[in-house]
Amino acid sequence: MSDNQQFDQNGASDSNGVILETKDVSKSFGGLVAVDNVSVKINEGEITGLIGPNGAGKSTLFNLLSGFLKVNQGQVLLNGQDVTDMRSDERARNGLIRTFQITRELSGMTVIENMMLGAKNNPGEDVLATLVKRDEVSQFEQEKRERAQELLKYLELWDLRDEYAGNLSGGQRKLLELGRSLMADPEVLLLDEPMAGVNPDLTDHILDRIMTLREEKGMSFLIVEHDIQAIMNISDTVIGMHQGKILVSDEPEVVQEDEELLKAYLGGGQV
Amino acid sequence: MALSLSTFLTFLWNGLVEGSLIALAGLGLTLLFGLLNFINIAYGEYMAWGAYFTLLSKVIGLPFVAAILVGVIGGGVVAIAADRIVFQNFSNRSPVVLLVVSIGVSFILRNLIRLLVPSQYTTALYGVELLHVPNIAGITILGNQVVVLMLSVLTLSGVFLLLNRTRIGIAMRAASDDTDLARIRGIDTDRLVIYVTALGGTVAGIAGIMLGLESQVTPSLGFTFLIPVFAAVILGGIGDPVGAVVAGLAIGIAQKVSLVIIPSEYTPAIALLVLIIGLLTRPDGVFGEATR
Repeated sequence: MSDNQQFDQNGASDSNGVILETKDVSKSFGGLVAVDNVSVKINEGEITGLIGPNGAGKSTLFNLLSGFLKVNQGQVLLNGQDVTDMRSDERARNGLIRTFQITRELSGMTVIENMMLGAKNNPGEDVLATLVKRDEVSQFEQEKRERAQELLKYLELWDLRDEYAGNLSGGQRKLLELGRSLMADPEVLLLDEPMAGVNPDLTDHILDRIMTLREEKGMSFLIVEHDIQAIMNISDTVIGMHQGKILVSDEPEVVQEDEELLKAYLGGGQV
Repeated sequence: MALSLSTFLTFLWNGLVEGSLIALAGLGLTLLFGLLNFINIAYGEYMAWGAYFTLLSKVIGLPFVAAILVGVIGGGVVAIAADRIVFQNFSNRSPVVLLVVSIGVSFILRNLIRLLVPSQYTTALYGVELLHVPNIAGITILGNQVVVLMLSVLTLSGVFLLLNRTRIGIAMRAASDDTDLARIRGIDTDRLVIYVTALGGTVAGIAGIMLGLESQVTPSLGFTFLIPVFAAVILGGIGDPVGAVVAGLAIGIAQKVSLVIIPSEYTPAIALLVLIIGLLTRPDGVFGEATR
């Protein structure tokens, strides 16, 4: 699909309330099957948690969903449209934004410059538009700068707007990554361990912002997280993975009691 | 033999001009490396093609300024052609494979000049003196050197303005720093590759034209200039434009000033000596950017 064939941003499609979906997706690395025939559905306007012990295939599934890895078989659907062959940047422009487990900010740029980079479909990144549509480029820049300022205040990073991103603490970088993702007005946001290495106060702050975005903006989230209690508290649905397969996909209360998942974690320890 | 101050200043002036050329060529090469992530040996031929486009345009009667423009655009076109026809087909291969492929492309592009350019022009002079500058305090200053220095400063300033003040330039820097991060933000990295290749090729074209102004135009004009350019790129911290420029200036000045004490045939070794001393004292590059 070309850049110009973007989806209807209202999500008017045959997705039936499912914003992101995989159908029988598999991925192998040599002889190792990292994701094995996985079918999952991420519902629109919901927070979906993805849990599982190390090596369960969570990160590989994340990479398949976001287009960083190509599937060996199966399909990935975004808003009901097949995006299996679409590159990661094309998926991003169609509303699927992800973060990384280890934050990846552009350390030589300031916080606000990092935020501005999050704005998708920026006409200023096209030579022709820059030359012939100067007003449009300038207006877009102005609108996005205001949006960046608004988000920095919302995430309580405003005072750090002119600081180099490389000087931020781990928690502040997580917030910056969240903010930069929000600059793209995502339809679905894939967060890879958003609370990892973050102090408890900032963790609460990040969780609160995620919940608010879901409730006020109807944003959809898929979150991989090792803090099981946090994920159980905020998720509408939790997916449990082990050895490349889906063990369970249900409400948190049900998943917490799932015998197979309990066995997968520390040979039967508490999830 | 005692060295007069004016002779020393002449060497210093020559070094500044040489350094500006190395800085400019280094900037183009480091920009290409930043996004494409391999050392492109064919870069020297982008320079040579830029010089030949200008030479042949002048031969057919274009005014020299117009001929320079043709050369600048020509460098960019050759770079894009090499990228689209060859390098993109190996984009998923390792940097070592791409390095070897670039040696092949370099060889082909250099010999295409010998094949296509009429033999009387394969080694030629532009034969122009763009400015007449009187000697100042006994320092020998050639008009073309002043033009080379001015064009270098103008081009360097333009590229840095582009990289720092335009959305395209900032996207280039972002993709150069972290291509994956740029992708997940929806930045069209394929389109950026074309832009960066065009920019790198254009800068190479300008450097090649100016190198021709300084000496003479030959098919290996860029190839033989690569040692100090690579040294500048590595010493500057690979992928760091500011580092490449500063290191380029330092190497150019060191090369020319060294002529005070050593014969000119050893000049290329000076670039490598500066590189070794630089890396021993600043292992992460001039400004501390990690050398990849």
